[in-house]
Amino acid sequence: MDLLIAALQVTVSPVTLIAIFSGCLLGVIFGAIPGLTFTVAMALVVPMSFALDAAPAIGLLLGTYIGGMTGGSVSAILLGIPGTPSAAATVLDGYPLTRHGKASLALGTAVVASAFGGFVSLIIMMFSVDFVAGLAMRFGPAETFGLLIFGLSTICGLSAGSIVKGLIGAIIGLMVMTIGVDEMSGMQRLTFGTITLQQGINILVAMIALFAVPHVIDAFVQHYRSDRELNELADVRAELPSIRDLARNFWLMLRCSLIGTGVGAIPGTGGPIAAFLAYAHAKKTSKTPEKFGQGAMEGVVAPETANNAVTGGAMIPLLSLGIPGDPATAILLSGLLIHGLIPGPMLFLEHSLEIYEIYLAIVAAYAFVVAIQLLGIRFFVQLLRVPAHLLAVGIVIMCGYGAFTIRNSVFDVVAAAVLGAMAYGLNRARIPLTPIILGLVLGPSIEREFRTAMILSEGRLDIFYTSVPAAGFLLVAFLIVGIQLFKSVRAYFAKSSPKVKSDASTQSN
Amino acid sequence: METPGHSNRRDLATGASLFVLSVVWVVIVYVTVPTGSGVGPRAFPLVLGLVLMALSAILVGASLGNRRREAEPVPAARADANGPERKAARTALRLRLQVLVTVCATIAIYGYLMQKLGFVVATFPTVVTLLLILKERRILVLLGMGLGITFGCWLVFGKVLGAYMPGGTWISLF
Repeated sequence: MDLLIAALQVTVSPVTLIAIFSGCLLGVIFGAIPGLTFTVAMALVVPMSFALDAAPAIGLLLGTYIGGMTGGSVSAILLGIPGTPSAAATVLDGYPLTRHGKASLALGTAVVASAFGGFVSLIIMMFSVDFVAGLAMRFGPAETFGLLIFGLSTICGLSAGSIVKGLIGAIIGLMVMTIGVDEMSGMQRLTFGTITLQQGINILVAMIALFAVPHVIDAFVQHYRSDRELNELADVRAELPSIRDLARNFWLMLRCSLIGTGVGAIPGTGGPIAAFLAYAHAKKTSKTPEKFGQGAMEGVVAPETANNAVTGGAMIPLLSLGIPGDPATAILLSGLLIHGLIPGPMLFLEHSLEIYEIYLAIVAAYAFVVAIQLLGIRFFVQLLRVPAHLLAVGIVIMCGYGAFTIRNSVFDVVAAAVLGAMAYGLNRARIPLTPIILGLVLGPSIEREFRTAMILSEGRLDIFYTSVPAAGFLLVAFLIVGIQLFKSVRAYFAKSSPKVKSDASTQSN
Repeated sequence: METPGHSNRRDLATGASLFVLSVVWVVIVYVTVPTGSGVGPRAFPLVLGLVLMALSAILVGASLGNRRREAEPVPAARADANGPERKAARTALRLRLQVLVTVCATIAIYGYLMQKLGFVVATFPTVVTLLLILKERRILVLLGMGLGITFGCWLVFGKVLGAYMPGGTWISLF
């Protein structure tokens, strides 16, 4: 109780509240504008959080995360274009509602459903995160290594279109993080004798390069090809749903919150999957499924509740095990690390005050998001009219400033530019960015845990298969990658067989 | 829309480039990083390089296999080399490369200017130059965005959030 009161005192301090509010505002803006994702906002905000104390810095990042997740519904409902991938399912009924003249009610309902999903997932997170962390307390280096490999393989297996490209992405991320001075032996690796490379590639510089630079290039290319047409938008406001409407959808919101939290807790899944699962569930259990796609309010309630419930779910493996489930939580993890908070079981023993601050910051963020969306909807409508290339100019400045302020070094700005060019190339080559970012974040831990385990076992690999949890995690990881590879190989040969057969028959004729 | 042929060519180029990169990586790691004792500092980067080599070889092999299977008629492809679709693709690629170089060079130069002139003096000309490159000619937009972004960032990051604002080694206004 004392900890809760102490955390409350920190959270309600003006600096922390301003930071949470600023994060929410930025997140909602970036989430609301199609093409500008809140992951870009988070990558740009992390360097700014450097100057702040831990509580406002985490509040700023959490606010951006939660604001972004909620903001995606604005353009999904008003324009029929999802602001974030998580809001794609909201378009299906949100946009028809706008065409029926119910945009205000749809926006208000989406805000309330989002906040409901967020709060329910927070409660589930608070109870489960302690339990998972308690289990992980028994883990040694071999088990932690297995767990990290499991997390990485899940993301490669589930998030990538092609498993080979997903694995390539993860390997590139892991490779980049080996540059610099080796933390265990103190020897230099791939530094070419330069002092600047001894510190390695800064994770925050890599985040800016991976997310913000390719976005700017895309926005400029789009502008040169043809100017984006200004969106025609009616003057709208957010209208709160009646208590009766909310009561009617209460059980649906609760079920969708559970779906969202459950999906969010599995690394590599995230908001879009949760939203579509919830949408399908709502349609299946509805008494009027034929109304879905035509402007059913349940079609907005279900995906919006679920995609926001993902935030709490994704925090479970992040806080208890140190495994981020998606790029946004990976950035959140790097933000926690730079403030000395190392997610994992020890976090609950060493930083229990900060844990309560995180819980309270999430509550405050949802309260701010509801207020911002209800009161500021007209402002967002105006923002949706701003051409993307003009917004991208502002992002260029934030990229340069953000990279520079990390270590007050021009080298970091140049590194952001070079890595950004490489990230754009990888993007064009359809190498998914999520495994790269996970490789960057988890790389140092994977190497450290493996080498520590090998030191403990005096160089014998049996430490990884004599421990049941370690062997279990590694087995599941190999199964996930193996199954995906098997599917790819089968699809590759299945694609060729009809043509081969038809060729053979043509020749015989 | 992307054709299977285009996707194969892209995968082939990606796989080949990554293969070369991984070979260079492995050689540099082998030559420059000492082995150390036990699982030393060389082990991880070396294994990662080898795995990337194997994965990029798989990508090259798969795209070559797909290409052979689709059996693109070579003369038609050659005849198509100057067709309108290829021309459009080349123009699009050139545009992307130009934008990529412009954006990355702007970021790098902006970093250098920020160190020498400070945030405020470096930001305004960078914003205006970028807008001019984007063919923006309205004075109000140029001045409004230049001043708005410069002083908006200075106010929010420097004053409200208390973040560090580079002062500049040549000129230090703030």
